[in-house]
Amino acid sequence: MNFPIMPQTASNYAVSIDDIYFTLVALTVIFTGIVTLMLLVFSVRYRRGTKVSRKNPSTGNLYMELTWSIIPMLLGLWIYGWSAIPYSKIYGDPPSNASEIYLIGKRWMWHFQHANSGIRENNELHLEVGKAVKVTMISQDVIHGFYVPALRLKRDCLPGRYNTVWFRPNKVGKYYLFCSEYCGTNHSEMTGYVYVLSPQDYAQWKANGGSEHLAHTLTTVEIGHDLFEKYGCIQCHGAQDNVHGPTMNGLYGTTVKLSNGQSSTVDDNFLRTAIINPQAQRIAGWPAVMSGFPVGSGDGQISEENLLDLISYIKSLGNAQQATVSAAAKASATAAAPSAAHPPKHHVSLATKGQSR
Amino acid sequence: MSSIPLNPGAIGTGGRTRARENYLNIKHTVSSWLLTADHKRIAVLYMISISVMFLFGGVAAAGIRIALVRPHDTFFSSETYNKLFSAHGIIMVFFFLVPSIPATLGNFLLPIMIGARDLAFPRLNLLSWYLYMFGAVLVMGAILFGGIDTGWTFYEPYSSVYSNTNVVAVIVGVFIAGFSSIATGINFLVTVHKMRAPGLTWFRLPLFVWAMYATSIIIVLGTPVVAITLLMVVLERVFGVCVFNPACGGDPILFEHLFWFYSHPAVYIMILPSMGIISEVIACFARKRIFGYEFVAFSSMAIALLGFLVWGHHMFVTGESMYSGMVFSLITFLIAVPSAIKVFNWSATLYKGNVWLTSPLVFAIGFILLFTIGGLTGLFLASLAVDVHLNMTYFVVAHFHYVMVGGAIFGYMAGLHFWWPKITGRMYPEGWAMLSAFIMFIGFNLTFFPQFILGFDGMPRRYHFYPPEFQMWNILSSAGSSVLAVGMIIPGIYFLWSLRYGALAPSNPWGAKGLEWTIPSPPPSHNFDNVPIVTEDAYAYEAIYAAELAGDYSHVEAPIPLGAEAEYSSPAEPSKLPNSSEERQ
Repeated sequence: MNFPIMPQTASNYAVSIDDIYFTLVALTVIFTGIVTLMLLVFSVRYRRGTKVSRKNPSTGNLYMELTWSIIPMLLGLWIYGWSAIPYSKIYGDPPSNASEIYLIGKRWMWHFQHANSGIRENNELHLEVGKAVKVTMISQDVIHGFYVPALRLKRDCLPGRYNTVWFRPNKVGKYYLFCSEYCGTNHSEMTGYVYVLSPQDYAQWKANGGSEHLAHTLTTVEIGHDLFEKYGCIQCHGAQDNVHGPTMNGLYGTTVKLSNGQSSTVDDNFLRTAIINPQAQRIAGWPAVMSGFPVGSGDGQISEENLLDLISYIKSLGNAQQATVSAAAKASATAAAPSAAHPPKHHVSLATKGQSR
Repeated sequence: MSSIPLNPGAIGTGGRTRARENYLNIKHTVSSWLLTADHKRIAVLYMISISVMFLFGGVAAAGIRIALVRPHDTFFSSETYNKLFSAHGIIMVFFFLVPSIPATLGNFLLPIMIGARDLAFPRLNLLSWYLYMFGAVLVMGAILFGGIDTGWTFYEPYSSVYSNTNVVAVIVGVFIAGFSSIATGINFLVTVHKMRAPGLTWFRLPLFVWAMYATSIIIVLGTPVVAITLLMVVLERVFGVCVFNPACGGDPILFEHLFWFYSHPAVYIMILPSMGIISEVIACFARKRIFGYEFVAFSSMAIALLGFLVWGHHMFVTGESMYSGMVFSLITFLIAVPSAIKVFNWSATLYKGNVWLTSPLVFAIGFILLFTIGGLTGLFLASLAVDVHLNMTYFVVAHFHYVMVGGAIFGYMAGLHFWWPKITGRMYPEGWAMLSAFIMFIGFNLTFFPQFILGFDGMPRRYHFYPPEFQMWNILSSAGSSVLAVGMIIPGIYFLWSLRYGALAPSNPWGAKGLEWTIPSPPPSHNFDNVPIVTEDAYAYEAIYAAELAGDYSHVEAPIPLGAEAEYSSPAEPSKLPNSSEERQ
């Protein structure tokens, strides 16, 4: 006989979310209690035939109406503001030292890649206690939902678009991972575990190379680097701008002007589209020569995993500091070749922040 | 007989006289039913149809609860389980809850309550029933022969690309049934605007009419959006027209936006009519005007309008912008206020009333309690951070069942018991009705309260298998659902029983105010012999209240025992002008 009334608490959000939850429980009990009391007392006390005073029955009272409109409204606004704070953290920018994890959802399994160690795992996620992680997720097919109740954390894992979430697990343990968005026949079996390990255990796990059957020695950046050459990206997007396309050095996180006049921040989703369907958002000043790489496993196609590797590599080429360096290099390169027929015309604003989602 | 100068049509022999001819017995041929333009007969057709659909939906629910007794169910395959919850949702939402009260009680009562002889477009009304039936037959065919496994939400790209089930047939069925809703909505709007009896100003309207009016606005504005959205799913699935499928450049989140733009207001389509019923029932059995009539009326309109601005609260975790999440959350907290206003006003109406505890009132009180819990738990889900944890769990399932079953169905039951004598001309056994109200209340809470806890524990919805530590709560829930089923089967039996063996209903068995109680039970085909002239507000119960406190209950007409009707059935005399000014003096 097991009647659990709440899940374990294992993240930096859990306690603050539980505080709001139990406050709401208290408010619910109080208001339901008031209403129950009113209904029961009135319908019994004033039932037909009772000899109680019914003098001056009222059929309306502005002050009463205002009271029971304004008090619930103020309480509601308080809860609203309170609950918006953790929400803006969960889906907001992660701390800069958060380690990156890429998550690919497919029917009916979860595939994780640890960006820094290159370790891959299926339906299991090993994390170090106390260390912030940012999960960037995408689905290969339908919408899934990444849900770990003990972390009080949920994010839809969408096809065709990266979603992110960050958290800091703060309690060692083994926790359920569920798919929360219905995804077909074996939806309820698309589950797994999140293992939060002590630093020693985590180091041990990492040294062992994670789960054996998926052991991997290259980091996502290294794989991305190889792919960058394999797919021929490097021919047009080398260390310097050339006539066909811009360099990737220092590009990530900047704001670029597009050929359609809009501007956009270069983030994961921008790069994804730029690889799959480059003409949808071509940076102004560059010719429309690139044909995209559709997602898939066939010839000339690229898998979701490799897309994330590529993006991880491109990201490594450009945070704000590196951008400054590469801009300086680019300036000297341009000076060295004044006769170039196509001076670089793209508008890369270097002043923008390096992290964005 | 009485010194109360009101409801003359309902007092004395005129009221006791069962009109020889009424809408039920005027003709008996099949075609007189299937080709009828009488709103009352159409309401009865709808009532039979939605009851059958409710039965199908209930059987699917039973299957779900059987499966969830064990953490690793072997009774059904996962395919079957998914088809069961999809069938349950689709049938209950589109073919029971949405049409339930508007198409049955609304159809029957709206014209009578405003003193009209029919709706503005009687044949459109009949067409709406045929559209409903056409959609229902198509959907039931698709469900029984193959089934559908998308859930009632048809989320993309699962519904257009990945599901191998009868998605197209079901969506076309829902699409067609949508037009039946639209037809009913337009009919109600026009009728309320153009056909009110002389003297029946807007603020004399019964609150049930206000609720129907607000509901109709939502139906007319919202249904076309979901209809066209579902049609796009079909186009994508059948012809590959790329709209929502990301593989070809579509956006599945766009589908969610469009779907919830209708489907959230649809929640109010389901609950507002019940709220209207509760206002009628509470006022009648408290023998008082509804407390704060204008606030209750305008809160319906506020809910109808704000209801269109909160759809994004279904999508806090999907990746919609954090800031739009904050706006949707804020508006969702605001829409709780008109609901709170209603609850407090209903409760306050009972204060210093002369409360007659009947089964409709017990159902109504059950409604208020369960709706209060359903509404307050909605705030958990409106709270951004809490929703990140609770979204897509059993907490959501419990919440909307408190609103949809505890709210909409308890309201429907209250209304059905309240107006059953008017509709059928028969009384049901009050003791059994009371019993079923209590059984339903207990069974309902036992079924759905554990699901709140399951949701907070983290059990996702639409799960065929679940971790074993959740089993005890699921067993409780399944046990409760069988109690709930008993509570729903009992009324089915005594209502059917009453059609043959129930005592004959007088015109006004509750001593209630309102035009529907001034005409015989069941009403004649044309409702009113003379157009009534309304000279007083709705719920002008003051005189009845005063008389009852003085010990005079003569305005409550006694049922006529079977076999004694001959004594009363004098030839139908023209009913008097109910509520007409000279009568009242």
